[in-house]
Amino acid sequence: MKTFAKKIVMLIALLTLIAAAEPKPVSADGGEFGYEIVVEPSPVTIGDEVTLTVRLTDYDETKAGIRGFQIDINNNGNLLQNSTCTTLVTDNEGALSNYTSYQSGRDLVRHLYMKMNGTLDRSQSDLLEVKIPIPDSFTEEGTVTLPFRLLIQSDAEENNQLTYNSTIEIHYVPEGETPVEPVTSVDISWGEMNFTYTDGTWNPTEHQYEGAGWTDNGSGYVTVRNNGEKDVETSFAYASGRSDISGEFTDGTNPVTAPVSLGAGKEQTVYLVLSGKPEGYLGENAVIGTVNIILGGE
Amino acid sequence: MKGNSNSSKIKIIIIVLILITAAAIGVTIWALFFRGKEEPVLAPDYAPQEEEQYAEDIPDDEGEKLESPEGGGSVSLTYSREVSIDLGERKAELHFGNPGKSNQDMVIQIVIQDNVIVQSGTLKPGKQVNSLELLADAEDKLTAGTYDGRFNILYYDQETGEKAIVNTEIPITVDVAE
Repeated sequence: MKTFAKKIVMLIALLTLIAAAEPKPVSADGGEFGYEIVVEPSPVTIGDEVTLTVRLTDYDETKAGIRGFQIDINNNGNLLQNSTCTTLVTDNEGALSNYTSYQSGRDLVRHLYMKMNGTLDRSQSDLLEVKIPIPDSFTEEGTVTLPFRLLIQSDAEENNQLTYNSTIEIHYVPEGETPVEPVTSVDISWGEMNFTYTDGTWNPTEHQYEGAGWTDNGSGYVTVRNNGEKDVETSFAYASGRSDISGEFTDGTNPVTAPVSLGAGKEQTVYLVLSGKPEGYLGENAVIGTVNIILGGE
Repeated sequence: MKGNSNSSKIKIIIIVLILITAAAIGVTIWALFFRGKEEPVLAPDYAPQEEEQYAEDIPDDEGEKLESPEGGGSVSLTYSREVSIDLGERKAELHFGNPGKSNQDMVIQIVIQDNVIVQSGTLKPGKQVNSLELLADAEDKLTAGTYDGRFNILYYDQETGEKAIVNTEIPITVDVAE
């Protein structure tokens, strides 16, 4: 019996070692990657040079590994022909390509990085730098918008080909002129906010109502999108018109209580969740509160 | 003799206390019933009939209307967070736009220390303002200097004029000059 128990323990230990030796699978779903495009200076004086820097913001151990990526910055306003592009990726081990240039045939700046084996080193965040001279032919203050696209190939099992589209705003002013404060542009949309309270159904066994609470049929949401070039800090508040009803916001999973920083082209949807049993009949289409969206600065 | 002196002192103290009590009662009565109350500026439940007189068309305002959720709304805002007020001119210089892709009318308030200094007329989609007039007596509440304030943006259904249950606040910096 003792010998048999010993054998079982050894078998379990062996199986554990085998399981530990198996390469850890990457997350089944690749998840999203965060990135930013820094434009300096903004605004830029006509005749001077503006520098665009593309970098990853959250490429850490919680993310899938990046096998390769492609950055495309499309031309507009004839800005990119005289630009200087530099790859900031220094991880060339096993790299098939790590090259960037302005391609006149496609009229865009392209940066292509691909690894034959392995993934981009986790310490790598800066990807691409583009220096663009602002031509003297520009005479008045203005803004040029460059379409931007980032494609990422990761080593995740699913959702491993990701595409991000955005725009780059280059704001320029004539020499000696005081730049006007950049204008912020935001889109906001909201649902009908039609909430219904139900007492639930009577459970004769438990002698109590079950399933009581508020429902909104998918109408209790707000979406904010930042169309500008600077981050916008967004907060959400519910002002209840009644002391017996309160509300809070979630992102669908977690409460949203702190301001959300929306980068250029980013959006956030939050959902209003009401709580509290109303004292008395509310009536049809009664307004029981208001939603306040606070748009701060960076 | 000594007794008479003490008695006089006590009488004086009593008289002083009565006077203090009477003054306190008087101030209380004044504060409750006679102190002038400021009329607060309330957000209208329905859009003002008149469009904002200083509204201008937004140049190069192109693009399709935003998708509007049924029963809800969708808006686009363009704004600058720097505002200047000229007390002599009784005007606020600002930049705020309601692009044509919005599907709600807007009313803008400038609020400083919970006082509504400016309230616009209706700003329809496709319109912007760079200048607004101060409300009556607003200049009496301000002096030259820099204030933290906010925009209150109120949304109204274009067909019914009914106020939306979603508002927007935007913190701003207000430079006030005489």
